[in-house]
Amino acid sequence: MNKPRCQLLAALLSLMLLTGAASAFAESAAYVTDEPITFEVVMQDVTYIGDLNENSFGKWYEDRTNVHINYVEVPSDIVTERVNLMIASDELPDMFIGTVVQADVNGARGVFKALNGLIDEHGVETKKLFDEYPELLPGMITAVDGNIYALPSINACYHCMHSQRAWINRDWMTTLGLEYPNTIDEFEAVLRAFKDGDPNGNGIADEVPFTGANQANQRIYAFLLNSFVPFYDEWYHYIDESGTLQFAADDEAFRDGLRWIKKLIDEGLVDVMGLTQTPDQLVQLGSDPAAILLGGFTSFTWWQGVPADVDSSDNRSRLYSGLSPLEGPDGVRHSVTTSTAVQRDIAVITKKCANPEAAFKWLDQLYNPEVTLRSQVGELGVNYDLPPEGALGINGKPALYIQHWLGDGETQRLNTRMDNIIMANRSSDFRLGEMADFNDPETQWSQEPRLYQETHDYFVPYENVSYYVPPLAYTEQEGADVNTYQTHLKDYVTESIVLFLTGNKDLDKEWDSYLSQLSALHVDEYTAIRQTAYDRQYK
Amino acid sequence: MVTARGKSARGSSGYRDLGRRLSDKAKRRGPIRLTPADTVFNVIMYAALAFVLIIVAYPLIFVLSASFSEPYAVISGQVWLYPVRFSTVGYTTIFRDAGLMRTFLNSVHVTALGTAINLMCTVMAAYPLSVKTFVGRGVFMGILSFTMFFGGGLIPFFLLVRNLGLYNTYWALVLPGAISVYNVIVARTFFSTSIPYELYEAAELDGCSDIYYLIRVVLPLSAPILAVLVMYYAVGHWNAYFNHMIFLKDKAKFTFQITLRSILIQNQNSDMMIDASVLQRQQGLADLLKYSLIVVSSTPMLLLYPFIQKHFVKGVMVGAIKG
Repeated sequence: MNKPRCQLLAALLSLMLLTGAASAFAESAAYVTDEPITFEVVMQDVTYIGDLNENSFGKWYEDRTNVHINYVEVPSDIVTERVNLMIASDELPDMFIGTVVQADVNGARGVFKALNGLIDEHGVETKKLFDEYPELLPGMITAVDGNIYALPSINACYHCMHSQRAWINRDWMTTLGLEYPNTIDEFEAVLRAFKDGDPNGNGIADEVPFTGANQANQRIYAFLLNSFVPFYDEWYHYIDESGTLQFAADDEAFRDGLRWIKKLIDEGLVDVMGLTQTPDQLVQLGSDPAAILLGGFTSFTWWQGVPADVDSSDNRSRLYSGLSPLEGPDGVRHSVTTSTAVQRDIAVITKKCANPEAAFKWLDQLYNPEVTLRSQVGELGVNYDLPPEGALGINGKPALYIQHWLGDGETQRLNTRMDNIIMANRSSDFRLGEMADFNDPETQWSQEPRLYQETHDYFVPYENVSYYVPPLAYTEQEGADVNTYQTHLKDYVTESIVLFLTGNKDLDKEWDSYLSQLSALHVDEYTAIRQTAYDRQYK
Repeated sequence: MVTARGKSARGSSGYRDLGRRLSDKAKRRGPIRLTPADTVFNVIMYAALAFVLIIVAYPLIFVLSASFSEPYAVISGQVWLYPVRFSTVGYTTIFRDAGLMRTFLNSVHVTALGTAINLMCTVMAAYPLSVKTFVGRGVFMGILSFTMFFGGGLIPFFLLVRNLGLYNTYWALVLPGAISVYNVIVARTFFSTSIPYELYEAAELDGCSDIYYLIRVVLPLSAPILAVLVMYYAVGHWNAYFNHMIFLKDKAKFTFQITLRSILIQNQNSDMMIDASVLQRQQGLADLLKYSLIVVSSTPMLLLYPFIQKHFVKGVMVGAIKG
């Protein structure tokens, strides 16, 4: 076929496509296609949702879009391996959702399609999203080469943004007549009183003043260090006033923080087991049926340390409230903000997809508020009901839905929605639009209202968003280097912190060798690459 | 009971009569008197064995008790030996969950199919290699052994399976590992040491073909080694999960171990960005089902073992020692 004829044909075809699409839109704005089409989508297999091919949201969305989806599920812990094998062997689906691996790299290689044109042409809901988050989009999701390969999810999860939390026993404080601690010295005094004052009243010194567990968001030092230096347990970087990335784990303030925590451990005010124990061991300690043992603990939620309301007869979790970050000697008092509402790299269209327009429109509609409500909350009458006139949500604005929390095991594997695994736009108003009747005294103890309230009262006041390094886009080489460096640094820093705190490494004598080992692990290159990427993307 | 005169156990009639003969002796002569050294030895040995028994049995008993306890009692550490606040909620959830039961049946299916193929292929490879007149058996043995030490790696393996059209079928789980070379060697050694060549000569004189000889003479004499092979292969298939996760695409084909593994480890999140409600549901499911799933997943192999156990020790030893 010669070139002019080929172009003519292409023009004709695209005209046909355009008119087809236009007529479909004329009928119903939500419809994607007239002719039923089928796509294959790879998603995560999570335990709390059943077979996606039988999921009632999938059927509902198929009716709405006329697009049939074959869902392929990959167990969530081997997503990287499986997706890499699929790419290596060219065994590609039409789309990946929630299972995207290296969107920028694979996009530049042509495995994933660049979406810029599609967004301009068909991105009805996507553009609304860009208007909603002008400071983040589309900059945050644009690859180094200027293309957008992957669409984001929006999850404005208020409480998730302060994931480094701690909880303290208010009942013990009342018993012992203690004030809520604001500084590290006051905190130390509270812990000492917990330890010596027998607040649980059983005559045995079995109280554990403060503990934690060895898992993300539960590490004791990751909370307490924020009285000395902004400490992000994942990357160890924060942005200072001049816009420069600072590596926190080689700072003098970091060393002072470790000295203080070590002192607390040596005096038995912080449980040394809390550095290494598993989350299961922590909750077992907090659930002791004979006595309340925990004074305070670092955890994402209260029920990771003490039994949730439904589990215990004594409503133990209600004795605890959030523990704000404490003010350190230099006035540092920081609540770690670990995320933004935008989750990068959620959905891509692969080169195998024969009809990217339809695929994109299908994805685009997932941001629609009605679709998001259906995909994230579920079925009307089963998972939620419409609130009565005038009812308010958690945020005090008119409520959008009454969530039905389904408790026991059978209904946990419910198959009426694809929450957290399919792309969606869960804006702040949407998430906090869950009805909460605060006239009912029980409401404050139910999960979402309580998470909101505790976060609002104890953690948000100390946030400093400007410290937070947002997700960065790298070139292929940068990405490979940063990953290697971060893995090695994180292992070494995590291990060294525990050794310093347990006294197996000396904070004075072995500090220099610690610093030189960090250099050997390329800490300077690591920071430099991240700084370059940050400047390129956000300055 | 170990006796000072344990020699008598070595009679030609085998260990199965030992108990009867000993008790006969005991009736005739009264209990055998032990020397002080024997007593000390016995005490130490029983103590050591009891200790080992506790170490081995305790986790099993704990899992069983935990599976019959209320989940919260397990979380709070109240269960340590007996079930606390007896509950079968874990089991009823499993048996009512159509998805879980389907994965269980899928696992039974893969295990049965895979073991049958393994057994057939292994016997067909091992028997010829055991015949001393078989030309080139050293070469074949060498080729087989080579695969014990060298493999192609994951991506070539995946590409091979995919190009053979086995991706997303159970054949991908049973054909690539149809022969375990280790088991071929065990079986070959058994055939060459336990089945006299004279039998073959006799059968041949009567006009018996090789395949008929294998089926009618060799296999009936090889119950111990067949039992061993069945056990090794079946347990291997039942517990396998990695290939299952790599090669199965449809959730309808997922096997029990994939589900079990997901439920047990998905709640151990390393991600800092997670929703509390997700974490809670994963945690709740794990707490509810963990122990009953482990019991359900172990039961089939535990049920298989007693039928095979009487052959087991004999088969392994015969195959392994006389090389």
